Amino acid sequence: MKIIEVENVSKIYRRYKKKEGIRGSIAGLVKREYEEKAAVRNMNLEVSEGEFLGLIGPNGAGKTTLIKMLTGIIAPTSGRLEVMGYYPNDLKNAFKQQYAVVMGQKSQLFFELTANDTLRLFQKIYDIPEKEYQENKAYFTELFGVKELMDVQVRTLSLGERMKLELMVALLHNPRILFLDEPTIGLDAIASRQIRRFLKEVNTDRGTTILLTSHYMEDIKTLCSRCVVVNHGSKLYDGDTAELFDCYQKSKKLTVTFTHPVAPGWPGGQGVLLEESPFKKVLLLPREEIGKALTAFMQLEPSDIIIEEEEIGAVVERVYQEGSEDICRNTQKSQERI
Amino acid sequence: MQKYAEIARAYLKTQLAWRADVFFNMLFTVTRILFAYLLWGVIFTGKDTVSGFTFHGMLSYYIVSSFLSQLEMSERISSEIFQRIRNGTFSKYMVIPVNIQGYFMAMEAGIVLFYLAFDFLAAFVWVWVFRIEFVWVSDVRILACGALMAILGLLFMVQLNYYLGILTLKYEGIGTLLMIKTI
Repeated sequence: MKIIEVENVSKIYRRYKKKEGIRGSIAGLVKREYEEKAAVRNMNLEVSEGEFLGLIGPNGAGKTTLIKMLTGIIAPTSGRLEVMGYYPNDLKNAFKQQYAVVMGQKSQLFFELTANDTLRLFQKIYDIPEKEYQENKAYFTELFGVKELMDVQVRTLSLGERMKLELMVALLHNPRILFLDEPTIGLDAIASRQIRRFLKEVNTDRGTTILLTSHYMEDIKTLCSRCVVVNHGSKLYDGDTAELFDCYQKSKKLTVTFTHPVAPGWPGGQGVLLEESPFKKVLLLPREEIGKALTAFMQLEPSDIIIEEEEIGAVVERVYQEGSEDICRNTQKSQERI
Repeated sequence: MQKYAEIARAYLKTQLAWRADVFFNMLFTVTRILFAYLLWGVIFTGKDTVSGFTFHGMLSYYIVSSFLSQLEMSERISSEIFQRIRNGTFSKYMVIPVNIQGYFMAMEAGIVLFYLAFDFLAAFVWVWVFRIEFVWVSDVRILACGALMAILGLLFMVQLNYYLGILTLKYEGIGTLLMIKTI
């Protein structure tokens, strides 16, 4: 069942262009120059209930604008948009009752109050029966491991702790859809890992549809079986996450160490030499050359070999720059022919 | 209605979170009473009436007018909306299933309740400690009309400030409008 349907949706903003300096500021009082910025262009998207969808793209790609349109915060300039059968920008309470959104800067927590106080407020706002409220609260308190944090002022908590509580508040009323706009931003590795685990569990156990935007590819790779790549307001890719990275991850890093000194250079000569010493070589090789390189290095009797995926930032950059469904599809077709 | 009552409760709790604020509010309530008592006492020294007011009548007027002016805090609504729209966090009110205007009215009610507590404390101090003979109007109809005017006035100010705040969405700056409202 399709829970989100986006058809040819565009969002055009009009923004004021000001010339530099005091003269520009004064001139702006009388005559203003505006430019149109297409934050989202002819976007088409369908999301089924229970999916965990990742939205990736560089800054200014249109991810947050899309989320805002799906939650009704802003209206599209054109196109058709339906979420759970509602037009989001009508902002009907019956619609808002069924989703939750967690956006970094827009905290629902009261900083002066405790998490328990905020949860009680949201119980009333969402009309959650007391039994269900207690069950959900107990479930999420245990899942997030935040029992000791429930009775302290939110302002005394760390960013990671606050994010867990934000998620708890968002999930308290069992929303059908959860929109997450960069939930792991600013969190350390441990907190990020915990959040990812929680989200996976919520999606699996409760069937909550989750739309996640993130700059951290680790989030997308770990959580989202399907991802959508957006850039300059347009959708560049919509499909399997593993296939996307498979398509764009062109190199692997090979680290070979020896107990005896070896001659400079490396057998085969392909790829890029990142580091070299008499006892160690680090190479960046095309994926298809790894096998050949390994065979060649084995003859030198290495003490250790490590093969790593290419640095994810480089992969992401390639996705944004080259990204196109056609490219990935064409690459797959070529591989099938071989 | 329950959700709005809970919103009011939440904002009342936020006011009680800061002990220093609570303490100083109590202190200023008492000191204000004391200064008013002393100042008006000096003005009324050797006189039964000044401009038709008796000493107790004047103090009664002072209590009621300061009570009502304390209740009028709706400017906070327009400034809160204005700040939130400006810094892009207003949408947090749009995504929850409450009427936004109702939310801000409930917020206002919660905060007003906090200050109302101090006003009642002040009234208690006035009447019991300083032995002020509170001057009432005897006509119940006048009292009722006065109370109704006060309530309608407060509701009007809440509405006015809410809609002025919302105008930030259109004009991005409402300082001039707020200034006109104050005039």
